[in-house]
Amino acid sequence: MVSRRHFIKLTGSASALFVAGCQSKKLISSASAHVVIIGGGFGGATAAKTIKKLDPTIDVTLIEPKHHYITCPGSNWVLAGLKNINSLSVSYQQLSSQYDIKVVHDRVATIDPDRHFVTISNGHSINYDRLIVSPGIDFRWEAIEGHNDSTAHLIPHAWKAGVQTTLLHSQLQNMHNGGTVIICAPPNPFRCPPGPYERASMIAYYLKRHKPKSKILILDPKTHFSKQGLFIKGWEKHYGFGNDNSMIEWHSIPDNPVVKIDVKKRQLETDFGDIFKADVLNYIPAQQAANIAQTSGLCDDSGWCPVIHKTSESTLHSDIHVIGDASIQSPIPKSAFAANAEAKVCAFAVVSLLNEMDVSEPAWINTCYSLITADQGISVAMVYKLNPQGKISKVKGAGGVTPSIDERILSLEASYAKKWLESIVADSFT
Amino acid sequence: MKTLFNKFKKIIMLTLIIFSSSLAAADVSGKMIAYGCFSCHTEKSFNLKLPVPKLTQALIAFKYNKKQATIMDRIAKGYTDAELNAVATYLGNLK
Repeated sequence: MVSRRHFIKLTGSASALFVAGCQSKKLISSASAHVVIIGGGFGGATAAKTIKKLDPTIDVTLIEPKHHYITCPGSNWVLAGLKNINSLSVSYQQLSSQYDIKVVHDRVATIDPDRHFVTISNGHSINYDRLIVSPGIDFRWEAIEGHNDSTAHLIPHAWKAGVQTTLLHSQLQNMHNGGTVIICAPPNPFRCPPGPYERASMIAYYLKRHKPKSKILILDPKTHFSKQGLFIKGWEKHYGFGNDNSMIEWHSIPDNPVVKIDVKKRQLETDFGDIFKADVLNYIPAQQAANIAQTSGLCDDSGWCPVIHKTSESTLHSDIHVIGDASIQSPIPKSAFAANAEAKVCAFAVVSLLNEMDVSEPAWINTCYSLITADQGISVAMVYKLNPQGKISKVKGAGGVTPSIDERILSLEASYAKKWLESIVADSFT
Repeated sequence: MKTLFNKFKKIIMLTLIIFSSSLAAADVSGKMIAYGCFSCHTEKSFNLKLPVPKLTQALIAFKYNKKQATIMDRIAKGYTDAELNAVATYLGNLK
């Protein structure tokens, strides 16, 4: 099929000129349409690569402050000693050399949705025909007293992988045998729903070998969590869950949440005044879409970005698409896999829209693997399609959790979990 | 000149309409589904050039629990038989 843009190319510059004489300015600029992408995580990287694969004539600029990205998937495995943090580092080299994506290492300061440009920290502006915003999350520090970003070097969240992961890892290594690790799980919705529970598993795996008298308390404002049945069966089998001397305890405290932290004493206080003292405190704050989405008017009252599901175009600003953790694409969870899937659906839509073609019918997959031990894993998966109302919905009969707790199956799941990480990184960044 | 362009535009639009109406609206294309496969099975891994009928057969077998799996059965159930055939056709013809 010949799109209008390709038509211009096919018929040469004379026609292009003639079009210039009678059509709007926008059409001319679409002769080399420019897509700008904010954020080089799984969402942004995958969107950039996919657009270039689908239509190499589109110019793509990816704006990401970091030169190396450290994947959140696999970062819990660092705590268990199964991975080195450096092995989770990926560069943007291949995206720029193999796919001709312009990678700008800078921070976006502002978005001007009306005039279609973004400004970066040095004050330069970059024009776009369509903008894809994939900035991830930021923390809602106002939900806690006594702790914020400035004390995160004492009380790590480790919910953005990198120095925070290394900090939590070293605190665990320096803890005495018999110490107490407290993980404060965040309220819904948040990045990586099984993450806090995989983290408890991985810390338990380390402690069982090196500091077996230690304990892990999970304080949770939720009444249930992702893959709960499978996690609990795994904890029962490997970490004595449910016994008096269980290494892991899960405390669901929805009516009595943690409201205050004394960072010096590593002490927590709940709404009713209960005190918990930790040797290592991993407080994972409540979350919302990253700051740039907040200041650009892309979020609703929930703190997340509403989008039209078929195209992931913002319902608040046209020609701006939001994908990944920052966007509301429920019932798809906020995961790296989901960001990769949403990026592909977005890329198909953006390419079609720029070529003035119909947007094709989308579909999404999400799979979240978690390790219970070094070689026992579990997963939850789902396939999503659009329902007649244009909303993302789970395909009936598809998906679900690991069907059996047979050791052989869980061992296969663990090996697939590790393979998956290699594949999703390759698919997104190379 | 304007009329000439509008004529072209009309032809293009007409082609678009004819082309899109020949596709069943609810079906997801083989290409769209295949891009989902690549999250776990990199595109390079399909260089093996599995014959299309074999791939289709495998996907259908996963969907109807005729082939043991840890996860492919859960994924294959998300698609119609026609969609599984379409994705197999796309993957089998990757260069």
